[in-house]
Amino acid sequence: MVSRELLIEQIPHLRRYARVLLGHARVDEADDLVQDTLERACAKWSLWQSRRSLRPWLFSIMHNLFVDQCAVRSGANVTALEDLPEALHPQQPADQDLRVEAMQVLAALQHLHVPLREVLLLVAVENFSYAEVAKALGIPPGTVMSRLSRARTQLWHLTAGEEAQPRPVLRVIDRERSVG
Amino acid sequence: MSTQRPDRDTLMAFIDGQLDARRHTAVQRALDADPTIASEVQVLQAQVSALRSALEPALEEPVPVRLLHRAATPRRDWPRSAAAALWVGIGLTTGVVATTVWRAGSMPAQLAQAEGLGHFVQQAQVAYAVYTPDARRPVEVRQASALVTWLSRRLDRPILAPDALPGGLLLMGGRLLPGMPDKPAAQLMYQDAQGRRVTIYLRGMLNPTARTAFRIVQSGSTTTLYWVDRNWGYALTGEVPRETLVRVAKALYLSYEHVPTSAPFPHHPA
Repeated sequence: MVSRELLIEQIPHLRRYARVLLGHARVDEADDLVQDTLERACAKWSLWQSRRSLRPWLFSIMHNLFVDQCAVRSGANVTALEDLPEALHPQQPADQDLRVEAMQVLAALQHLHVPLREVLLLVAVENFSYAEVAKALGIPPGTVMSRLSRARTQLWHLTAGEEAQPRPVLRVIDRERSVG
Repeated sequence: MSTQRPDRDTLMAFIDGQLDARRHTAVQRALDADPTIASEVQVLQAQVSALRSALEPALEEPVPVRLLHRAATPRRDWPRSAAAALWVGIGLTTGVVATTVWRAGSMPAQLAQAEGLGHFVQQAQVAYAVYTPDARRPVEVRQASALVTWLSRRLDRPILAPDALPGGLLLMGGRLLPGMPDKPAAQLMYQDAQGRRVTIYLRGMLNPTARTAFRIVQSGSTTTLYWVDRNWGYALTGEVPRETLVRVAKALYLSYEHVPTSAPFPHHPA
């Protein structure tokens, strides 16, 4: 059961993911989310034994916890981020900021909707396969591609210093929770 | 072979490494043939690189202790072998895994008897892992004479804290650590010119323990050199060459050779 070593190795990756979800300045809150994730992972450890890939499983636990926390904060009974009113997504800065010169990529990332940010992080930085992202976030592969494309386009506009595209209203309402 | 321009999803899959070999080669060929495709790929690739560099620093930060504990603390309902594996999970060598489970708080007599060298080495390694990455407060006390007085009183024997050790190691300071019941531990931290930190961890052994020669265990890139002398355990831990640790160990061993293992100090109330 040297798998515990793998769990500890993932802590820095989980911390990073939590900061992308919550906002880079919110380090302590992000670490709280990591702690909750580790706790839940330990509680469900026996379930993991049958799975092959630790990282998507761990990240899906964090994603689900995050959705739950957003739901609690908003008082809404939702199971997917898309169902939350946009105003309640973390780190939604005012639109008037967006017409300034090229943003640094981290700041620009924070301007994306969380569902877009997540997919971009998992693919471009954490090297998840598209299938792993779909599994971790509980979304169809087609949704992974469309979010990835929108994330990249929006990020490009923000960092290139052009006026950001008006944020598309996410019409994809998926109620699927990923299997933690 | 299709000569159609690859669509955006395909280009994304290309840079994300999600295409099979055949399709990957096809896109590569399209790239080579058409500069406009090449430039779109370049933009996507540059974005990936920018994201990775911006997010890299977060990975390098030392992990807060509470998260290490959360990942490592055994739950009451886990079997002992799982708990033993956790100690492996903290990055410790498989050669000295203790087979007993420690619970916070009380120490039943039978467990105390089982306490041995393996557990001592684990404690030294955990203490190294917990305190050396700390940027703000790696040591509790920096001032050498205060450190020596404090640790010697608490450990009930003279403790040595040389200002310098072989390998260009300079004293940063030290701290007191719980160790075992009635056997607190001292950790001294040293740093070399490259900023690599080495700890000396020592405490009295709970049970009589035979003297040992220098022993080395390896855990990833971290080496621990330890020995027991007159029922005191000493462990050096660091990511420095073994030869350096051996030289340090010899110097320390010689220094401690004539140092009593019990208090020469008159006892004052703490």
